[in-house]
Amino acid sequence: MKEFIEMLKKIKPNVDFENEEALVDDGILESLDIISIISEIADKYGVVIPSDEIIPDNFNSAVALYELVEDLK
Amino acid sequence: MDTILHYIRQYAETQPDVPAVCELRKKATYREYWDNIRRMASALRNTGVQKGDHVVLRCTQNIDYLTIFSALQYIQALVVPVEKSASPERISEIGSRVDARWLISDKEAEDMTLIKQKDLVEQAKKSDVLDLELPDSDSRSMLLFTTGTTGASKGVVVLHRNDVGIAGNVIHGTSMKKGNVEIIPMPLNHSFGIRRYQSDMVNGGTVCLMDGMVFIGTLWKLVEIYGATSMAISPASLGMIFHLSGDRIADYADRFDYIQIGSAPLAENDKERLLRLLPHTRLYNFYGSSEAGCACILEFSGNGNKPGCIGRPTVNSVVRFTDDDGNVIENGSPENPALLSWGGSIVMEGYYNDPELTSEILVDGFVRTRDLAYLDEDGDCILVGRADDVINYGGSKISPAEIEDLALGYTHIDDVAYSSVADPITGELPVILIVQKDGYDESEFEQFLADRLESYKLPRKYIYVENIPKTFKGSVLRKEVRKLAEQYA
Repeated sequence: MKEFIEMLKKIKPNVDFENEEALVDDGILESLDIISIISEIADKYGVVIPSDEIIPDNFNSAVALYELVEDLK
Repeated sequence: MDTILHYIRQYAETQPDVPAVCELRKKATYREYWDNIRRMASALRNTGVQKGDHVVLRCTQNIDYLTIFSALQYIQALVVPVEKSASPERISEIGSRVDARWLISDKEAEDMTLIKQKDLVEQAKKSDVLDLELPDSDSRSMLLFTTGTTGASKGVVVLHRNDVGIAGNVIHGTSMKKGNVEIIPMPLNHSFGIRRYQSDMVNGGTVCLMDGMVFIGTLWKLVEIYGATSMAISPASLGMIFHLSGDRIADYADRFDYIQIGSAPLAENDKERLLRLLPHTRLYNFYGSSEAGCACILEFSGNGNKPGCIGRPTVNSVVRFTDDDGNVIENGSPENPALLSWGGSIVMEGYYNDPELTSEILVDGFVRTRDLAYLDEDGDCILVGRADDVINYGGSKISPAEIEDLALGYTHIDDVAYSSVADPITGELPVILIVQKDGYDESEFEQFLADRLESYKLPRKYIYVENIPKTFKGSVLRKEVRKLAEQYA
């Protein structure tokens, strides 16, 4: 999880990924950030997120996203 | 009928149970929507908003936003929609330029009284419906902020009759069927998004809202839940669909009646891919502006592929060609393309508080553009180029000069040019070329820009050069700068 958060911070510095739970709903992550995150997850973990799973609920917190990636591994 | 509100009221009576506006987890039928608009009007009145007040409304891209937008029109306040990511400084600047008294948002901005959207929505739920006379067609509908045809940011005063005329262009141009269900991911503070919503309201159809296209899982869910039959998207949205889901859209080849694509030209390879994946769907490109919306339409499925073709003038628009001095020329020609002007009921009232610019752009009831074109023997309008240098970043237009003027305010740069490089998703990606001075610090400069610009205007790449290519007179050589940017990026 720590490594996962480090990856997110490289994409979007200055965001409290440990605690934020409304990354999308509060507009903290923008569309190009989401694209970067999806690409980085594919590169780093070899996980391609299916398009049906690309919904705000899965990107609102680092935990939700991490769990999705773990499920898809 | 005179206004979009007239249509919503009519459908609330004749088809009360048809969904008017939908989100993934929420919807309102025409009867509910009309009631909610009138309740919201009551809440706005109780908060102190009066007829004639100018109100800046932050776009939240949902049903609540459209309800407030319509309620402001209903009480005849002038609504000034602004984008969701606009900084408080930018909102203040817009507010002061349009003499706004109120701001409906979740954050304060200087010199306007804040009404929190959440509070307003709660208050509306407890309010009774307010019955008022509807506005007339020649009154003001909204004030749209745009970079438009001349590059600099300005306020376009739109009339109700423009809304209805443009909606007619969209309905006629797409051969929109009764019962159309349209997905709109485009920002509802911009002309493209809001005018697609309006055309569906005039047609008595259903609008399904999405906040951009990146959450593509939402798109598939909306298609399934509401039985969507059409989409209004940008080339950037289409790029996103392909990038995130490959050819998945082909699963709905028999579902989509049409897809309309606006705000920027569609790349040839994306066009071919879409034609291959959706062979039974009508595909349209619209050409227009905030000043004169949906002026021309091209059905690019089924028709021959003429380079530069933007189709034929729409039912409520009138095309005119002029030379640089504004003299009318008949149709132009491939050898002598002329500047396009647009007339008809789609033409704006003018630019807010800017009679000089209005008289420059609006001549004899025609909006003059900087687009060079001609009408061919088939009556199709062929675009040969733009006479200005506006950057189109995924449908958002950015004036390089505006960014350069601002960037030069940072002490430690000697010169600067704002440009773009090609990008498979957004079409163009904004970049900045910098000639540094001693003491320059990239993160400090980034912060300087971030404090002053909307996020979409921020450069995505910082390129360092020895000098900026310029003419003898000191004007930036845009093509040279672009070449340099492509070389370094």
